[in-house]
Amino acid sequence: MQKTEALSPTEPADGGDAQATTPLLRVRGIQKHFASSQGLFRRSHRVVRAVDGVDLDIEAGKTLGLVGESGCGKTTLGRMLVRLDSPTSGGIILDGHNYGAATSHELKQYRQLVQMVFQDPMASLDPRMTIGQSISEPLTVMRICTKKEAHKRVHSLMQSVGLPEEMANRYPHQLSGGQRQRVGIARALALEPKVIVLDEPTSALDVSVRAQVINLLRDLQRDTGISFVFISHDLSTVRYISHEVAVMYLGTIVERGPVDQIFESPRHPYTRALLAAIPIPDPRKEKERQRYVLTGELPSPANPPSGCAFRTRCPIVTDFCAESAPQLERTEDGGYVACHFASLAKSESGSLPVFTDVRLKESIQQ
Amino acid sequence: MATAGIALRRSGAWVETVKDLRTSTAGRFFSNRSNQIAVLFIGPVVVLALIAQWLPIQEPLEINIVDRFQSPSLGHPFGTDGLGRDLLSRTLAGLRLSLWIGFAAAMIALTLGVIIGTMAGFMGRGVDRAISVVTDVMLSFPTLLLVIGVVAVMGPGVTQIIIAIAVADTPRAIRLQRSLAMGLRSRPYMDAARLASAPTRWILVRHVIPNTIAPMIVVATLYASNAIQAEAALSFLGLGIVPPEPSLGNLVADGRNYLQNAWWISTIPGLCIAIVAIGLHFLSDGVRDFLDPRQRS
Repeated sequence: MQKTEALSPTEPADGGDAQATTPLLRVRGIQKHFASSQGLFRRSHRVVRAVDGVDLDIEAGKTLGLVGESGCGKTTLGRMLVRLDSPTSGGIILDGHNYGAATSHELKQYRQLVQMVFQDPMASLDPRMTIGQSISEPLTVMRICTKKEAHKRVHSLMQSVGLPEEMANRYPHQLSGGQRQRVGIARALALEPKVIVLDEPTSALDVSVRAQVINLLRDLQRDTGISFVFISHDLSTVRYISHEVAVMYLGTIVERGPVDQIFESPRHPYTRALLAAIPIPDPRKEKERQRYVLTGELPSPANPPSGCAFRTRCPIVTDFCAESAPQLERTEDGGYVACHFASLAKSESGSLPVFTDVRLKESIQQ
Repeated sequence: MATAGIALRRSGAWVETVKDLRTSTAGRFFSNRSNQIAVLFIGPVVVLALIAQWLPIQEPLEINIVDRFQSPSLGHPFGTDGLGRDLLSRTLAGLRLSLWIGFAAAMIALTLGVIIGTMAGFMGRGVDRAISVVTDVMLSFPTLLLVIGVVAVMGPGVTQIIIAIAVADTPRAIRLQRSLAMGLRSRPYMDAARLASAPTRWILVRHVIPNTIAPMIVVATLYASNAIQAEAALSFLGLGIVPPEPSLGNLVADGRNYLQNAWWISTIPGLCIAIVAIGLHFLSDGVRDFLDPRQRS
């Protein structure tokens, strides 16, 4: 186990040490590469960079929203955060210890601190275990308490997620989707972790149930001071629950910052495109606003574009973008953005950027 | 199934729930149409076979040459054979043997299949490859040929037949368990167990086996049915149970020379084979529904 000092944290550009508090969980330069072999006889090995150098800070008692479209690596990142997958390289630093390449003994320790809630609540519960058995599984496996205490603990956990005690004897198929996800949350809480990674916890739920689950998470955070990493592509939910937001594109973070800054004045063209996709619940406003629609597909992470990964779909792309990959740089309002033209593209959320540079405009029209 | 649940709940209310569960478990089993048919088919046959030695009938090996080729009557409900042996008694003895062979062979195949198949599905590529190659080679032989081969090597006898049939069924069971286990490997609840730092042993015993055992038991009942038929086939060919000890296959073989004059010698044991086989097939259907937690209310 490495001490933090031994690891040289690759802080974003201008030093990022302005934060008053040290974050609870720090992720530095984390990468996950998968080898994919193609061809039957002529085997060519390609490396898929699912997550390619991500830095994150998770503050105690706060929620970090992680957004991005399908296939951008956010689930892989989440699985690495709980160490279900081991990172190819990079550090996960919690309490001064780096768990990036932890041994199984260290992992046991880590898993008491960082837990996960899964996307599909039905699939995340063993159909042959009762709810009580599922929730008490971490307690039983870790032998944290006697069976009698575990029994009590299960009931208090069920209470804290708003499930009636009698449900402990039921099987997952007898519960509704929302109830199942509450069971998943109760199980994640069983070890009293400091961080819970929520991998699209509401995407399989009805809208009405979704709101209940989100409010439950907020209440839990208020009561216990737990931190969340909320992985989602549902931007309105992310805005509601998060304190900070990180936007992922093709395995890297393209923009991150406080939630209001991201939603009010996004810098990265990709963030703006994502925000433009949120429908406005007012038909007149919706009609008036200029749509900022992304064309094309997410490029394959096995064969990413040169320079800026987003340049193939970017509305403000220039020749320069193909040559140099932008690094995350600090903006004046406290966020980080990885775009060469971030300062140019500052504008209202959802609308097209206003270009002052004629040369730039021409290059788009080409 | 609910051991942890039992441990979790030691209150009085829980004891009552257990009682309710038990009564409803039996109720659930017999309320299934397939199970009812299965019990109708196999029930009387099994009971008769088990109590045969206490029934007031002639011993299966007792020869009474005066009464040879008696057609079914009150004294000999299934008739007698060419040596005047009572066919009811012989059929029931053969049935008991067949049921034992079916049960034992299926249990061996089930146990080995679950253990080795789980290993193949969970212990990494090398183990999987090694196991798969062996099962593939064994599966490339026709079942009966493999059984005959094993019997030819080991010689005839009940134990040998059980082993021979188990050898033929085990690769199938391994294959099935392997694919079931592999399908479970990436389930989120497996990830949840790993996040609880559950050791592999825990994951296998608490998650993999409970979630694969239902289909395995279903095929095991089919293996039992196949084993009974395989024994009959072997004995009919003269490779199975050594006469004069009766088995269903021996009895059918004995009677085939007299089919025109004494139809009952072959027909009645043959019908027994069919009844047990059909009953076991219905049972496998019923057991599948019975073991599905979704069918529980």
